[in-house]
Amino acid sequence: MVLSQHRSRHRAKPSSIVALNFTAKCRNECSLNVFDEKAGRCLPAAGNKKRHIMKYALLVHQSQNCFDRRNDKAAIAAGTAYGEALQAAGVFIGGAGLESPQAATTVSVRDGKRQVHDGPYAETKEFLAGFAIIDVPNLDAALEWAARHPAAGYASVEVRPLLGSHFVVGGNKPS
Amino acid sequence: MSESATHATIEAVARKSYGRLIAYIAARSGDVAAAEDALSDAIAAALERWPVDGVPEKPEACLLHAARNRIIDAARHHQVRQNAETFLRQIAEEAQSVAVTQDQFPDERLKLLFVCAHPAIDPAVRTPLMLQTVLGVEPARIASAFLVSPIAMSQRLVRAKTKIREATIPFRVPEPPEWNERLTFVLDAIYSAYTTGWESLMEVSSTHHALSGDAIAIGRTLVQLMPAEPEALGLLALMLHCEARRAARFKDHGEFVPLDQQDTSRWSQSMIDEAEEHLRAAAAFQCMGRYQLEAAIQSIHASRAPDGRIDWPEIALLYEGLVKIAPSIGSLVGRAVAIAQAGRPAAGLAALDKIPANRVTNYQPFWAARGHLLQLLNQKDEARKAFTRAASLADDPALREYLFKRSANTI
Repeated sequence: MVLSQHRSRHRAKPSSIVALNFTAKCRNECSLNVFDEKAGRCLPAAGNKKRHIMKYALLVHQSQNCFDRRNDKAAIAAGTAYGEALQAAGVFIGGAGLESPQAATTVSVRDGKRQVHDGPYAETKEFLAGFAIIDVPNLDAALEWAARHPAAGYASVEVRPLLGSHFVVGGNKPS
Repeated sequence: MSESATHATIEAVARKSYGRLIAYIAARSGDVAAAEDALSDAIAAALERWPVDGVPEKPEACLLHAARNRIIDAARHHQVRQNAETFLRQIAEEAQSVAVTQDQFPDERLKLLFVCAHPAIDPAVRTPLMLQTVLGVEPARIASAFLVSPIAMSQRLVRAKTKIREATIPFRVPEPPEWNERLTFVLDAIYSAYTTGWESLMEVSSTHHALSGDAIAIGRTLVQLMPAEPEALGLLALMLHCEARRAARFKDHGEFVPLDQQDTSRWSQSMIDEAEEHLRAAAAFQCMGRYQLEAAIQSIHASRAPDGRIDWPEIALLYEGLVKIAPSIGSLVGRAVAIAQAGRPAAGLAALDKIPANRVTNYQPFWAARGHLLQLLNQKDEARKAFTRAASLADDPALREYLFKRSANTI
């Protein structure tokens, strides 16, 4: 009896995607803007065909233990390499690591009164430690990038579609 | 054509084409729920118009054409997601062209199956989702087979469809390296529909029984869509082999009959023949997998000699392969029994006892197998206890009665 692996079709390469950025106002008028990485803002896309795009947040949840090791040389190198890969693929919209939840301050307004308290919204064993916003065509592509995240190997990466797929970058006013 | 005949025609067209129409529309919009809405509107309109105007020449294409109107409405009035309008208009145009030309519209059901069994979909809802979208099975019937309330089942289905739309789960057939794992999800979801209809031994007319038929229908569709996939062939062969024995599993007054005592004249020879044909076709690819191995085991049972002799050493060998690629609790128990039946009961019992205790606490087949093996080894007290425990875990009355009887007869 032959027990063998089958199929050796080539793995689909993630297509290189131009980072598109548009806002609620412009979406119905075909006026897509191209996110210019150098300029750090959106440029109007003349003659750009309207196309389906999707944005996802990759949310890294990890324990204090993992969080404490974020400044290890290897962790920094892996994080940098991942960021560069996202940029090279043209899918990176934005992202950052977050300071410890102890540095958090939580604000709410009730009955017109501002309430401020020290600490994160919820004290949990695992907490949000960083995020990236990526622009890829669908969930499968987003899951592929999430799996490549260095933290996926020891923590968890939650993949959430952005509401309406908008992400506004500072200074990016729809023209 | 009389009105009732027209209704029957519409129903037949809808049933035959339901999955294809849903898949075609949803693959373009990414929205299964909207596709269902559009199609159900189209069917409702057909039920109104066709008895008056007569059944059209291309009923399938006409349903698609009618669905187009609803799709355009959705594009115009609904809170349409970004860019969705383009897609909706594209569908509308394609629907129009399919309706007026001789072309068949493309079959996108394979993509739909991969979406239903996507790893981002809750495993518990994958099978119900397939049954509903591919075959158009009523949620109430699915709910009764899965032993949940119709409301709870509907909520789960709605949640899954919302996830497909909002997370943009792509309608695509995956490629390596994802291929093997993703195909396994599809096969497992189909097999789960089958076993949900099979494990319960209730009366033949129950919803459970109908679900087995549905599972086989999806299995056939899968084979039709990917004729060169040995595991899809293996799964269909496995389901057909099991289904072939349905009538022999009970005596006329409902008494449970174990496989080795079944009256083979009550087996469906045509289903067995079909299963064997699929299994041979699968073997030609020389690429063994879980479902082919399980089907091969059933194939040996099906070809047992008229005097009841079964080639247990061959079955034991197949189980060795099976536990290597799919060490499920069921295959580990099956392997132990095969070893014992092949003439080594002590080795079989040892294999059984090696299965981690926490995995078998509530697993009825383990305790039935243990009772059987202890009986072979003449350890009667222990055998009785094991049969009693198995009986207490059985959820089917006929099986429970059988197991209690085995316990009582171990003297």
